[in-house]
Amino acid sequence: MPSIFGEVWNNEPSEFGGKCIKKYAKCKKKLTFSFYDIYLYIEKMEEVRMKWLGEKLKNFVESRYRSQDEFCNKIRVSRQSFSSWVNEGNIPNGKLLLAIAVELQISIADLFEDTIVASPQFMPAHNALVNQNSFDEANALAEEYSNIISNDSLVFSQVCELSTDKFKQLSKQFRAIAGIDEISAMTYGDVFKLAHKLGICIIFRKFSNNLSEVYAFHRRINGVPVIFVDTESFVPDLIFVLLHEICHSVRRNNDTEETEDDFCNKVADLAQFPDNFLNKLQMELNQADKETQKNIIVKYARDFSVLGLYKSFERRGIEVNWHYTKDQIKAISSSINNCIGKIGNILSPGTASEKDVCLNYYTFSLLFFKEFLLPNLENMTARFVAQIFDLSNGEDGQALLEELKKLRDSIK
Amino acid sequence: MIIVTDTCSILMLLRLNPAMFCDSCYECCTTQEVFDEIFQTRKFKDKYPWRDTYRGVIKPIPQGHVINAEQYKNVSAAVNISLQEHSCYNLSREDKSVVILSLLLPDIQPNVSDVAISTTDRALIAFSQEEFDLENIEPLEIVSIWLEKGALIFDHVTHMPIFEDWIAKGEPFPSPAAKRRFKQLTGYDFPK
Repeated sequence: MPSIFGEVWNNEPSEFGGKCIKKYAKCKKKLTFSFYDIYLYIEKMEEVRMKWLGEKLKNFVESRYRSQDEFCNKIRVSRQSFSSWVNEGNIPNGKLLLAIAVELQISIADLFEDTIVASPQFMPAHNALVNQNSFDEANALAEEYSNIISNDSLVFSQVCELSTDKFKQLSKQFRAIAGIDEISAMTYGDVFKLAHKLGICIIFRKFSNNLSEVYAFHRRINGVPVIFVDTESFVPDLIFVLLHEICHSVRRNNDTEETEDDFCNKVADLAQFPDNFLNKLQMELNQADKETQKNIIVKYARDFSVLGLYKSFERRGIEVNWHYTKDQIKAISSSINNCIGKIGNILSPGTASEKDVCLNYYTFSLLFFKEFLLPNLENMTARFVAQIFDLSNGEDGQALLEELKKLRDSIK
Repeated sequence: MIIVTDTCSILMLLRLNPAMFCDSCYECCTTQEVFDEIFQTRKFKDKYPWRDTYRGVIKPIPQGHVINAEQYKNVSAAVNISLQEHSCYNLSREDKSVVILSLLLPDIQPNVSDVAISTTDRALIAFSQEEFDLENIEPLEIVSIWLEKGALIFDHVTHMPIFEDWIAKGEPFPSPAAKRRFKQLTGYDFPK
């Protein structure tokens, strides 16, 4: 079991944490999630792989040369090669692409359409989410994975339509997929399980300064839903953030009257804290004196953000006789955040060996590791590994690459 | 000829010839990304404790400084599209910068007739060759080029320990052809 659970809960996990630990210990031992039914959602319409426009090349050539042969002679290719580019959708290699661009005096981009990385089609409003200024940065980060994440995997062969017309239905479906009853709050383990079952890859990276206000964002990379999470995010904040992004990932389009973000906030909130859980907790808190309320807060702080809980009560108009002001709750939440730490420190603590780092990432990014990263290790340079594990200012990626290979071989 | 040298090649060659970037007779250059990697990677500091001594002599060609923006865009696009569409390789930013600079050099320095790269990274070698017909010259071959031109005089006492250090640090072994050529020029066997 990754040390995160031991460290976070001082080896005394809460009831919910305990459930999560058992399930993940089981999976880690089996090194497979085959006992799950995997629900998948594939969106084929939004994202399109970079599309080669052979016809456009033909038009350029015919408008500038007496014949296609003349052009072929200029760039020293055969007529057959040219024909395959125009009629069969073959794409010239890099050297020929450059030669074509120079000869025709065009940009290479003029011969392509669309991008591999599909961005969301709506504009989130809040500062904590991806805004216009950070869109390019988010796309650039996602594009780093465009060569290793593809939709050829058999994992994505099943499709499941998720009802998205009302937030309550969707949040209920999320909980059902994650296998949670209606009186428990969603735990870290539950949300990772939900993402896995929905076929959504979770990738942890240190976001650049342009994305520093962002906790997480979602993208489709070659048809595969991916959520990028900033390793600087505090662990207690992750559940809501991931649920929010999962909601974005599974929705086909904005079919509600609300903004997309408001809808996903509602889904995330209700999925994390069902009404039954909040009502029960409300009774507990209302009967408690100040000291007892503090103990309750500390107890649940192991499982989720206390401030998130406070806001959830507020959003749903559930009155709680708090002995603490909102600012005090914020302060408590903040100090708990600092105590539990950031997800990056848990995935890769300073003292961890490469082996431990591999296992930590493997546990929390299981789908990405199993389906895309580990099968492609032979084609990766050590530097690329260092880049995607944010080692550029630290260790050589070679040691990590070797450990990843050992992990891959142990799974086979 | 100009050889765009990657991190691994620089770290093998720099002590042998600290002037490798300072004089055009050595025909070497590198990228800003490679320069940054050499001096910002902490493990390199441990593995190559002498690296900081040479900070002032590595002179990268600044990207975008004298390069036509449109051509830079085209070259970057060609590299990225090739990676996405044709190859199964995964290259880092530094890897790509070596390829991009290699392709841009004829624009930056029109009197340059041939451009090659120098790296020991197999994926980078394969990608560059397959997609852009870029030749790779391994570090020991570069040493032989310098020796043949008279740009470097081989000194068994000072240079052989550096080669032994290559092996001790786990750097890739030179190819048999490179070792043969080295022996022909110096009379010495490359250390085993």
